[in-house]
Amino acid sequence: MNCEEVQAQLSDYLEKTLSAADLNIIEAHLSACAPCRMETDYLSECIHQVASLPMVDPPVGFTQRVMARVHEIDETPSFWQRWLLPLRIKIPVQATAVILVGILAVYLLEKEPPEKRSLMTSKATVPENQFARPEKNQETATSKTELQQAPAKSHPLALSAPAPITGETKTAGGAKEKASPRRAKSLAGEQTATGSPSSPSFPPIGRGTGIVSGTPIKNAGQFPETVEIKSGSLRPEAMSIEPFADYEMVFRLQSPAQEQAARRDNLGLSQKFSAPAIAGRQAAGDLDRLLDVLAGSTQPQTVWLTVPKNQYEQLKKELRALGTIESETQIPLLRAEPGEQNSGQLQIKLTVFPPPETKRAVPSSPGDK
Amino acid sequence: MKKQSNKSEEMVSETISDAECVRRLLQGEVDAFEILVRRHQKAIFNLVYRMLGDYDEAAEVSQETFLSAYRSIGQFRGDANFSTWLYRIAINHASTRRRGLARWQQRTVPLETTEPVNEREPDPAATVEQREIQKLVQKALNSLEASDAMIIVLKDLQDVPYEEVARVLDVPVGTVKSRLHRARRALRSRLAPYFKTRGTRK
Repeated sequence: MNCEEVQAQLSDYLEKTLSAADLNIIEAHLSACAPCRMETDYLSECIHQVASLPMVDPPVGFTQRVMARVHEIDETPSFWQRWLLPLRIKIPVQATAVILVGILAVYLLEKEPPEKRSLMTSKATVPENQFARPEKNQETATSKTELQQAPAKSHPLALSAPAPITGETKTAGGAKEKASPRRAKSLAGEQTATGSPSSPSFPPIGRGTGIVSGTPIKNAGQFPETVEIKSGSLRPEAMSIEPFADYEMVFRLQSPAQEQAARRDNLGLSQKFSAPAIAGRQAAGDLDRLLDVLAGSTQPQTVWLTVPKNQYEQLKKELRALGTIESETQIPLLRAEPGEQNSGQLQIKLTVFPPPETKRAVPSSPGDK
Repeated sequence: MKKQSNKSEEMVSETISDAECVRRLLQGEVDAFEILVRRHQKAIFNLVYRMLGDYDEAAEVSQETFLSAYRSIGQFRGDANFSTWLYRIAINHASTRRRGLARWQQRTVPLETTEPVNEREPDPAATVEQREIQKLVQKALNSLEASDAMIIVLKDLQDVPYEEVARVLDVPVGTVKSRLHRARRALRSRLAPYFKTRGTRK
């Protein structure tokens, strides 16, 4: 064993962990090798000196300081908890809110298309001022006068009153008045102009036999102030989507005299119809009253009617009694079968033209036709 | 609070095992940690102090060691001794601080030439010669690699058994022995001037 090998085992030799054989070899080498003996002494002295280093006491109050910091750390999690606790609450609450918003969105999405389809719209097909007439101002004055006499709330055109189709309407005072086309028009104008919030909700549709009915519109029962019948036009102010029509009809009203005569003949039938929502924003109790209103206009009006499929012919019959059906078009391309998608209800786009020569300023005078 | 402190002191005197203290600590009994601090503070402090050679630094690093242990007590596995785990934390902290100090001292004075700063009177009863030797030994330890200084302190100063040193360093016992021998020879070479003067004086 050379010096290097011996010196590599000096630690074991000093700690006396060598085997007896190795111990003898090293002791034999050390007895003969002075440098290795000196190295062994130095190494032993090193170990001794390190072991002789005194154990130093930690600073006074070391434990207390550590424990004080420990208690600070203990408070730190509660600090974090204060931050995290709201998250624990917030996350489920926000998740619930998101789910609720999602459900609401789906609900609204499903609800919207039928709503849009059911828009009862009125469209002035002729520009507003084209048919402006000199007596317009006079009519406006009349309607204002009547407005003061008959509050909108109790007006027969105020939707909910199942007024008989006798041409007489009931005022607030209970007095019966003759309902002429002009009168009806002015009253409708009154309601529209006032925009009365007290207008009752949508009337029972087709209270009689219910063969003509209007589908409720979004703000049914509220009359936008901007629509002015007295100007001779029914201009929709927010018409955006036209409902699909199964039939399109062009209808020309008779003159008032003929109309009244026809009305007397077909009183029974007339009573059966009601078109509560017409002209997009206004409403009427019955079909003839609707036509009265339309007759007051000098412009063509478009009305959307919903009629049960099996009552369609009856409606035509009724219309013929009040005027002339100038054209009738079935629109087959939109649906395989008319009324199929509306559970047997037909959507009818009725374009109503005024009488060929109206002399409505003198209602009692006979018409030309 | 006072009652709790007194209670803890009583618990220390009852020599509850480290494992039991850890178990109580994990159950939320913070005072159990105080027992562990009191029990191990001297060994940890002296290990760190001899590795750093600076009393104030040693106090700070020792405190960090215990606080780290407290924070990560949940990671302590019961299969090891608490002291082994604590030594490991202390060595990591001390080594990090030692590197920082070495960088700082490199810019000022070489580490091996510096006297141990902030050295208190560790052994008032020691003679002047003994104090001189202690300073030399500490200076030599400072000049060693951190791993060498650490293994010498653990084994030769604190007399930690080879098996535990092996667990602390996570190496086999044979590796510990060879590393220790290499560290001792490095220390002996640092102390060679001292031995020569002593030899001449002798």
